[in-house]
Amino acid sequence: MTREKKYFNVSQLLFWALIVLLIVLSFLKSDLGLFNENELTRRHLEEDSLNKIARQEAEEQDDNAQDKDTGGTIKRTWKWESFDGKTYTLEFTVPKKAYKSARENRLKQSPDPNCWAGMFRHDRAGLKDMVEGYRNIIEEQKLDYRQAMQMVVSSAQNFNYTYITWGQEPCGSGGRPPQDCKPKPYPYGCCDNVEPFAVYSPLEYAVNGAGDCDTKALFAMAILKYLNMGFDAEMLMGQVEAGHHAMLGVCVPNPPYRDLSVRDMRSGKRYYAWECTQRNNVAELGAPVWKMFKNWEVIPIR
Amino acid sequence: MRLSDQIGIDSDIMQKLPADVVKRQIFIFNGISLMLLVVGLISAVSATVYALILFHSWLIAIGVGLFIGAVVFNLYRLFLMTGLDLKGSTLAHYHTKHENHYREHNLYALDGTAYQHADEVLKGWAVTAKDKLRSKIDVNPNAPRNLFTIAVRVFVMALLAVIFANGLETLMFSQQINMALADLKQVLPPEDWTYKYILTPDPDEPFILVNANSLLLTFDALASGLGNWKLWMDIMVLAIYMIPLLIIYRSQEVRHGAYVQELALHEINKTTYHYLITQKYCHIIFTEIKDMKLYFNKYSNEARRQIVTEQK
Repeated sequence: MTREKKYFNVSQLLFWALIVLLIVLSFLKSDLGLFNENELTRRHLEEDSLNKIARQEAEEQDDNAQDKDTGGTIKRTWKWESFDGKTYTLEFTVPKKAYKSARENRLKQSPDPNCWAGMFRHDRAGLKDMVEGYRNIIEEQKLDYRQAMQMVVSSAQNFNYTYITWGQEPCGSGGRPPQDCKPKPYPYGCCDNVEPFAVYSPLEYAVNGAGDCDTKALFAMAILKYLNMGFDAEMLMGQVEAGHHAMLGVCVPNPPYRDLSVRDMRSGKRYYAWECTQRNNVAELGAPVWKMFKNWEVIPIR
Repeated sequence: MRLSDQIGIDSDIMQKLPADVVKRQIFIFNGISLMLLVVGLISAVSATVYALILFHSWLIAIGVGLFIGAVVFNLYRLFLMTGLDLKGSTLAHYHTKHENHYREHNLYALDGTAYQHADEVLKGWAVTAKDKLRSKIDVNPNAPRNLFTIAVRVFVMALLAVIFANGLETLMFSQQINMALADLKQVLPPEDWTYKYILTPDPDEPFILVNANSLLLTFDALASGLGNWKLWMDIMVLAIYMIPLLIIYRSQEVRHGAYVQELALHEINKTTYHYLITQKYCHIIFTEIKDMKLYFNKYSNEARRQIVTEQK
């Protein structure tokens, strides 16, 4: 090839190589860790003197907090009381990379209930240590499946309710408290702009503890499914007097409280609805939460 | 239809060249056309991203994107086609002053006799002169160019490249930008101006793609999130925009390639033929006018045929 010809050929090759590189980068951007999401907030806080004060206060609070994030993992300790009156403690770690990946995976989901399945499948690996922790408790305490189920669901109910919003009903409107994305006693916290369906993934809930009906139900369902204790758990969706709602559905034989249940027309199984947003609400104890219960359906999570 | 037709390349003028040369030239200009289409597409996508952040409407954004993409494509096409000149080629001597061509190929000798020949014969002479000229082509690959016009073109395209690079990167990292914006929103108090007006959507206009009303905050998130990678990605997009210009100015196959020479010869041939035809018809019309019996009225310059008047 002459030098003249080489010039065009090499330039053309370079052009298409750059195009391919851009396309590859747009797919691999998450894995390569090119983007640091925390940098904007850090810069904003450092450059804005008013926010500096808030940051210092937050750092002081973090220093006093029981949970510490070290190295490449996030460490959390959960302590709660189950329906049997026993207090359980669960220490677990989540890889920071898995937490970041869970957030990215959530943002990729469709804005409908199908997103629950996508998050459930994705978070299994990241929650491995937590699930092992639950399993250890079950084995050490010699819990039967029903006690184990109650232990898991009571842990999900333990955090205070937090509004999770997205779209046209932001925090501070429609009776919601202003933006403060932390679980706290009434008037509760509120997390804004949680794409795409106003629900956090199970792994995000495990780390932050902020969640409303579907986040808490999804977390409880995910842990029950990961533990694989021989009974089915699914997500239920329908209407109550407060509006659209989501609950955990468990398919167990002969529960004492069986008014609120939904039959899955595909499998024929009946799932008993379990309210996850209220502490100490246990299906077996039969405390009715909702008077209206209509248009409910089982959303299979696979 | 060939791809090269899209940027205004007329491959028919290369009929007299060897097939392998024509094939190579068409391959090159097809390649350049495809690059320009990709650059136009990148600009369109990037402009759509900008418009989405500004207007929160897919319809408007796609309209703006298509318009801007077409503008950039045509601007780049203009830069490329006007960049094809004859500097460094002996043809420039004839292309800028056709009298040199007529003189050297004895076409002045036909003055006054062109009318005696059919149009096809005149055309044949013009073509013969063109073929003689082709054999004289010599190229100086190191001939100087007009640096000012090159600098203007490079500057304009570089500016566009950097602007559209931001839009492209915003699209690529929109999820991460949204995470950064969500984190920022969490630390801002609800009464903060940025929180209220930039990070909170209007009820009627939910956010699309990026959860902010501000281009500047979006770019701030992009720049702070990417850090030094932003510079590298800008350079990548800049290179994509610059490569077609670089080929036009630096590749000898384009700058002094067969197509440019043939285009110049084609233009010289056309002018030569029209020069001869003009000679012929000037003579014919002049003779007709002389033979015409004319009557000139004092108050009108209207020519009246078939009216016999007194000859002075």
